[in-house]
Amino acid sequence: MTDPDFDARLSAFLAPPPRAPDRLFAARVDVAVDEMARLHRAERRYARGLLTDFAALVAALLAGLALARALGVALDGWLVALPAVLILLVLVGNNGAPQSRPGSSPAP
Amino acid sequence: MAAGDRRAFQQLVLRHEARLRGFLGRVAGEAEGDELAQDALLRAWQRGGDYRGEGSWFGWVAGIGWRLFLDRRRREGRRAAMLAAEPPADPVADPESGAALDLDRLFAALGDGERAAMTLCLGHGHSHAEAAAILGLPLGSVKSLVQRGRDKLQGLIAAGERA
Repeated sequence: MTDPDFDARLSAFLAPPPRAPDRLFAARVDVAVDEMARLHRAERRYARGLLTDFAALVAALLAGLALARALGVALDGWLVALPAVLILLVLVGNNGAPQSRPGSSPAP
Repeated sequence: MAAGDRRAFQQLVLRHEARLRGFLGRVAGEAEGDELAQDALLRAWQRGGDYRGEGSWFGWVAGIGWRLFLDRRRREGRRAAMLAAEPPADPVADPESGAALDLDRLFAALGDGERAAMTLCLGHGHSHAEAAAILGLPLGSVKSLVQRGRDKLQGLIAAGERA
């Protein structure tokens, strides 16, 4: 086979097929584009949902932290106040009790 | 995207699908070529804004298809390496096979780059520079791929005719 023959045969073999546009293929691409758009919308919805959930979680954590801090402050006050109250109660109790023991001689 | 964009895209698909499928079919085989063409068109739709109008739209989409093909080949690399360790199966002589089928079979024996460069330059009428842009290869590499592939194919045909 001579070079020009070979080149002509090769070009004919490699040339794109001379045919009318394949509307079925184009329709398949169209459907795939629609599906991809739907998928992207679903992904965006999912991502938005995740973001909302995460934001709610962070808000709950922050609220919990604030509550814990407030409780800590309240408990600190309680813990400081409790011994003082107990001491006062002991003192008041001692003052109200009789000073002399039974059987001891009364003061002159 | 706007409905007008979608209609324009549909027109582009209708206008270029035969060439795109022809190119990718020669590179990857007909069935895989169709899949690659569809994937490439989907990517083109997604990245419509990336097309800067430098070169033809076909060249841009063909480049996307070629890179998708290379990605697939890279993923299949391990499996291909395992298969390469096996001795190749003897080709079965088909009395019905015509010259076109022979050329198909011989062309499939060339390297990926050779097939792609030859299809674009010898079949689709692209210049070496255009093919280089589509394939993302240096101009010299494309020239040598075309020449080497052509010589290899001619050698294979000559060997077949002698046998």
